[in-house]
Order: sequence, then structure tokens, then C-alpha cells
Amino acid sequence: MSGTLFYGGTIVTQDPKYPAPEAVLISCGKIVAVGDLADIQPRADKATVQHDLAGQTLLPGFIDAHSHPIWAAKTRGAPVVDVRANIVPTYAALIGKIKRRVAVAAPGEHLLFFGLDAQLHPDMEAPTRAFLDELAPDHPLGIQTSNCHALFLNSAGFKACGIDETTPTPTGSIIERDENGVPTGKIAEAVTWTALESFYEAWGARRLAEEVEQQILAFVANGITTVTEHLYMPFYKASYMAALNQKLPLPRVACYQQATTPDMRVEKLTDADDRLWMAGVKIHADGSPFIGNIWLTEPYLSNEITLERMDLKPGHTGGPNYPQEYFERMVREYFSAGWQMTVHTQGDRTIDMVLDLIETLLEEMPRPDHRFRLEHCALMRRDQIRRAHALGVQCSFFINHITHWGAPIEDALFGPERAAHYMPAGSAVAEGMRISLHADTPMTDASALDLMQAAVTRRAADGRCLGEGERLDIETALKSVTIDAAYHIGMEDQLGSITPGKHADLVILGANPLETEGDRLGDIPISSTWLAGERVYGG
Amino acid sequence: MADNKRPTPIPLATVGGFLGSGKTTLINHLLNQANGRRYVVFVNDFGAINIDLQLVETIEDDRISFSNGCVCCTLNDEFVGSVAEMSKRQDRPDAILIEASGVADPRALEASLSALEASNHVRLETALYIVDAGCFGQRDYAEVEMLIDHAATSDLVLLNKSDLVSEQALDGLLQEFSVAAPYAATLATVQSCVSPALLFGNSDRPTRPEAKAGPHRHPDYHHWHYSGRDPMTRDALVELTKILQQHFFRIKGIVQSAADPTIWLSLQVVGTRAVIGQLPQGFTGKDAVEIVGIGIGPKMRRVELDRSMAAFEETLKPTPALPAMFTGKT
Repeated sequence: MSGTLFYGGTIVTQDPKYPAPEAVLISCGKIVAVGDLADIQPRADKATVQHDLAGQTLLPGFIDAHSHPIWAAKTRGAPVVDVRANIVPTYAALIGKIKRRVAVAAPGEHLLFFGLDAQLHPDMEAPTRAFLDELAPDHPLGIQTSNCHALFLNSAGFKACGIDETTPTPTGSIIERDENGVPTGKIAEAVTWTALESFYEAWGARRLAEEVEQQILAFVANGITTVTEHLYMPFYKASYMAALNQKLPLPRVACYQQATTPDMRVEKLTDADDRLWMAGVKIHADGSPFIGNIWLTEPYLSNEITLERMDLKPGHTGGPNYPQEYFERMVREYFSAGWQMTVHTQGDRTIDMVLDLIETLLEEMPRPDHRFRLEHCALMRRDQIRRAHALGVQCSFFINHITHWGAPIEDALFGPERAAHYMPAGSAVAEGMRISLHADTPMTDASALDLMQAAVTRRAADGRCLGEGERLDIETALKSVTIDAAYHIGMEDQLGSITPGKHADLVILGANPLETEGDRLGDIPISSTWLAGERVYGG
Repeated sequence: MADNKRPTPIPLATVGGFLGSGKTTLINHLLNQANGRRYVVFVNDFGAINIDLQLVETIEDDRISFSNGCVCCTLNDEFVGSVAEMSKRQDRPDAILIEASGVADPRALEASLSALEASNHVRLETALYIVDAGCFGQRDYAEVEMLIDHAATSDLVLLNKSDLVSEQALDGLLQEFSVAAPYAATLATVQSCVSPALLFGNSDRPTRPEAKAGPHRHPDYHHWHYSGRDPMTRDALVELTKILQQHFFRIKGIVQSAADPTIWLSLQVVGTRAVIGQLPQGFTGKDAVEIVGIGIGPKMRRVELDRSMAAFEETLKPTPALPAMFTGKT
């Protein structure tokens, strides 16, 4: 028995069978014993490392239930220019940044700017193709919105991505065009993500590998030991296997392969065992509340932000991404093949459509433990939560919308009544659901403690609280980034708590979150992160 | 109730800017012309602080006290504790200034500051950022963008050394910063001359509606810290500087001379320019070698740096190091 013995601090196991143990022994990547120090110490030997927690708090490693590590790697770091509103405060400043970048661009260089934001760039105008051609006549140039769902391209950008008037718009995507079918600048949804690949490819594999490493380090530096790849595409595998082969501290990755057609072959990922596996299939039922392509029963508010910056019509209620029949064919195909489904749903009308479909599917092919997941769930209604819970549907909430966009959600998009139940995590818990929280990295930065703080305070950047009744207690918030998140990815028997037999994925925090003020959770320092029994971050 | 007795929070300002922009000039002004006000300044190291020995009362490892009541402290792990302690004292400081541009983990400092603010010990007054207007035109793209990103998240931007550029060029710069940093006030200054009232004034901080959305990112910085027990010759320091310049844009260091352990050398590097100076007599550092490097660009070539450092340390070995007992403080 070698391994490591932890003692001398607070141990929060998230397993009711071990309420307040004194010590934890890990060995060979697994948790071996949890309990009184006097009982466990004899099981240690000379080779066992004695790790005195010195009053710090040991917890199971955090699990981010919905993230995009490879995409984050592609989206973050040079040559992508970060123009998110917390760095570049206005559209005018953003245009200045683009001009300076274009001025130093190498011939033919692909230029990409991430973070245009109709809600947070107060002077934003939707950039047209013609305007972008003036800024950059010779270089492929793209501006991606901070919600990741839309991209504005100049002519060279369209050419580089192979999109012109003859290109059919893929089902489920948007290409805005003039009367002759010529793209006018904006594209949205799945076509955005394929178009961006031509930028990423132009920058080469080496740049990608470096950014993957940075993202991996960012996750483990935040105590995250399991992530999901929530838009898995087959060519991602090479990046993940390379990271594992280089012995980088890649958190465990539960993959959900993106489906845009009903005839996709879902990849079996078996090479890396408990570090990388195919967990299910992901489909976008609708888009982003911030660009207007979600499906609502009640319309958006009408004001300068929705009408001008977002370019919506008064009374806009959006729609689903795919024709309903096409969407149903996709879900039926992968659900019937036995996959766990995770479906991106933001608008309540979208959620009605998906719940109707799930009900039908379960009547046709009953499946007791399907754990069908709804992702983000911004405008889910209380009656839908009850119905979802009764159907065995799981909800994962993108709670950082509140902290990052809380004010415009209430004032500009949906009004106070809907804002008070936006991302209704509290209602879901009250109805008895086990929920998870997520940062949807790269849309917001990965930090489980920030997620907890967001769910516990529901405090927006300007200090207002969006829906006091939807706040979580800290204990529930902690479950939603550990054991309940493990349940959502179907790994609650191996991850998410400090239980003998589970993987030794651990995090040591400078303070016990259960005894921290809700609005200080995000400030708790991460002392160290342990993945499969090895320390991968901190001292 | 305890809250009724709680004193008002101490006004606090931070100052950032590239090396050579004028941060230290600002700090020296503040310390030497306090006019009866008691300032406490936290700096990464004392290397560049222009200490007027006439004014110095005591010098400790991490603290220099002046006869005018001002204190200069190193910014270390005890920062939160020392500020909390200061705020309770009878002779509490009138204001606190933090020179934070070299800290290894800006997010940790932000967390410390917000904790101190939440506990009502301090009130964050101004995030000040100093730009060297004189050499702005010579900066490359990455440097300009970093300057602008920092300026945009500050409250007050000084276009310092404005006497070194033409009026027309200065107008252009003011215009550029008013677009790029619309929520910051921009001022043209000479010799970092700015009224302390502007830094610590009692008016509310300028509001920046979205500036707090999400954690601030300090993307294109990488930090590196090195400390060593053995003193170094000036020649060795020159060699080391050459290595470090391949990795870092800015380097600051304090090195105890191997030739004369009572002499402490200071190292300052901006880009390709390196200056090795000598610290005032009587100065003693904690470790014989303390060097901080700050690089610009997407990431640090850590492996390469570690390899070069290992090779460099090998070259030091033949030189017999002085026993520790002879390096003690005098």
C-alpha cells in the first residue's frame, strides 16, 4: 500500500454514509478508505505519503456538466483576439481593436475576434459584410458573438469558409442573404462552427495543441477533474489522445457527439477507458436568447437592444433550429439506439416540443433510466419542471447567464417576471430534481466555485438579484457540481463523492464552501487538484 | 452595535503600468511630499523606491518606515492581514496605494482586495494606469493591445511623459484612449504628477457598468519568479539577464553581490534595455537572489526556460559561494 493519506482538515465527502471523516486514503488512482484516522492509519505503510490538510478542506473533484474543452482551446488565446465586453467595453473600441489588428496582419492571415455582444456592447451595430470589407479588404475576417452561436464574416471570410450564393443553408442553420441569395455577413448555429474550422485549420495543429494544454491547465487549476465535450466531433479525438499520450492532466471527458443529421455514426471511444468516453448524443433544439433564435410562448420585449442591436421584429417569439419533423427523426434515431440524449433548450416553447417528444418516445420504447438531459433551460416554466421530473428528464442549468448578462436579461430581453425564474434552478430542486450547473466554457470561464456563487446569490454584475426564490443553498449548489453532476453523466458510481472504490479525483480548498458566505464562494483559493490519485495542480 | 464603532474604510488605489511608465515616480512623489498625510504603499520590491535616507526611520525585511509617518511594504502573502491590522490602529493610514503590476497572480490580488472591501477595511477608490506617452509610438502590436486592455479596465489613465511628444501626437493619443477606454478618465501628465486627491478623493468611484462581468482576464502576461540563496557576481547577473530577456519583456530583481555581500544589486529590464544598479547601503533582502519576470505573449516557454536556468546554475557552481553566516544583516 503506497498512495496518499489525507488528514488534519475538513473532509466533505458528498456521501451521506461518510458524514465527517477524519481521514481519506487513496492508492492506485482509487479511494481506498474513508473514516477515523486511527482506523485508517494502520493501513498506510512507509511508502504512503502523509498529506496534512493543515485545516484546509478536502472535497471530491468538481465536475463541469456541460463544457467544450476543444472548442475553448480553439476560441481562446492568440491569434483569436478577445473582444468580450469585460475587456473591450464598447463596439467603437472593438472596431478600433480590429483596425489595429488588420494593420499588422501578415498577407492572407485569418483574423478572428471573439466576444461581440448585443447586450453588453452598448453601441453595437450588427456589422455588415460591406462594412467588414472596408475594414479588411484582403484578409479573411470573422467576428464571433460571445454566446458562440453567430459569426459575422467579410467577403474573404466567406470565401475562406466556402460559403457563397450557391451554398444551400444547412438544415438547422442560418445564413442571412440579400435578394440574390448572396450572404450579407451574419451566419448562425451549426454552420458557424463548421465555418470557424477553416480559421482554426489555417492556424495549424501546433497552435491548437498549445491552446488545448492551456485549457486543460485552466480546468485543473479550478479544481475541475471531469468535464464534458458537449459538441464532440470525430476529429476531436486526435487532440484528446495527444493530450493523454503527452501525460497532460486532462480531466476525464464525457463526450456527447453533435448530431445535425439523423444518419450520423456515433463514435465508440474505447481507447482511453475511464479518461475519455462517449456518453451520448447532443442536439440543438434551439439557439441563444442573446441572438433571438430561441422558441418562446411569450415574445421578447421591444426596445433598442432587441429591435436595433439584435435586429428582431416587435413581438418576436423565435423558433426551433430544425423543422420539427426533422428534429424528431434525429432524436428518435439516437434515443432508440440507446444513447443518452442531451438537448439544448432555452425557450419554453422549445421545451414543450421536446417534452412532448420524450413522452411519445417513452410510450413507444419504455426505458427506465434514460436520463434524457435538457441543457441550459433558461425559460423553463414550473409546470414544465414538474412534467420533466415525472418523465425522468434531467436539467442542467447555465447559471452564469445571471452573473454575466443578468441586467439585460431582465431589462432588455424578458422583463422582471420571466427574469425572476430565468434558469430556474431553485424551482427544479424544490420539485425534487437532481440538477447540475455549468459554465458552457468557452462561453464563460470554467470555475465550479463561481457557478456555486452564481446559483446561491443569483447576483448580476450590477448587484441586482434575479429571482430570490430561485436561489440554491450552498449544500445543493455543491452537489450540483459534484455528485449530482456525476449522476447527469451517468458516472455517479465512480465519480462525484469521496467514497471507497471511486476514482481518487479530489480538490483541496483553502476554505470550506459550506461555511463560506455565498457571495465569497468564488474567492475560495484552490490549493491543489488530484486526478486519478495524482496531484495535477497546486502544492 | 459593533458596526457603529467601525471606522470608515481606508481609501485605496492601485497603480499599474509598464516598467518605466512612471509608477515609481508617482510613489516617490507620494512618499516624499505627503504633507502630513500618512500613506502606506505596497510594492513588489523596494528595488526602485527612491529612499531618502534622511526620512527613513526603520528598515525591516518587508517594511520601510519614514519619519513623516509613511510606510512602504512589500506586497506578500500577509497583505490582507497587514491591511486589516493597520485599519484598526490608532495611527491608521490616510490612504493605501498598491503597485500591483508585477504580481504573479492578479486574480488572487483582486480577490484579496474585494475581501478587504467587503469587510469594510478599505474602499477601492481608483484603479490607476500609467502609459508612457513618449514611447507609445514605438510599441509593437502586442504591447499596445495589452496597454489598451489594461487602460480600458482602469478608472484613471495617465498619458505620462506627455512633454516628450508633440501636441498633435498627444491629441491623437488622447483621442485613441477615449475610444479604447471610454469608461476611464484620461489625463496627460509629466513626471506622473497627479494630485493625491484625484487618487483618494472621497467622491464615488466612476461606475463602469460591465467591467465586473465575469472575472477579469489577464491574458497575455506570464509571470515567473526566482529566488536563490547564493549571492551572484555582476558578470553572472549579466549572463542571467541575457537568458531571461529571451523570455520576458520586463524583469526586476534584487541580487546580493558575491564580491561584497553588503552590496545589493538591482536589475531592471524593459525589452532589450537592461539596467543593473546598486541599492542604497543598508538594504538587505530576504533571499540573496529575488527575480521576477513578466513576459508578453500567449505563453511562457517553460521547458526551455527551465533548461536554460539549469545550465546557468551549473556555471555558478565552480564559484565558491560565501557561507550563509557571512551574509547576515549588518
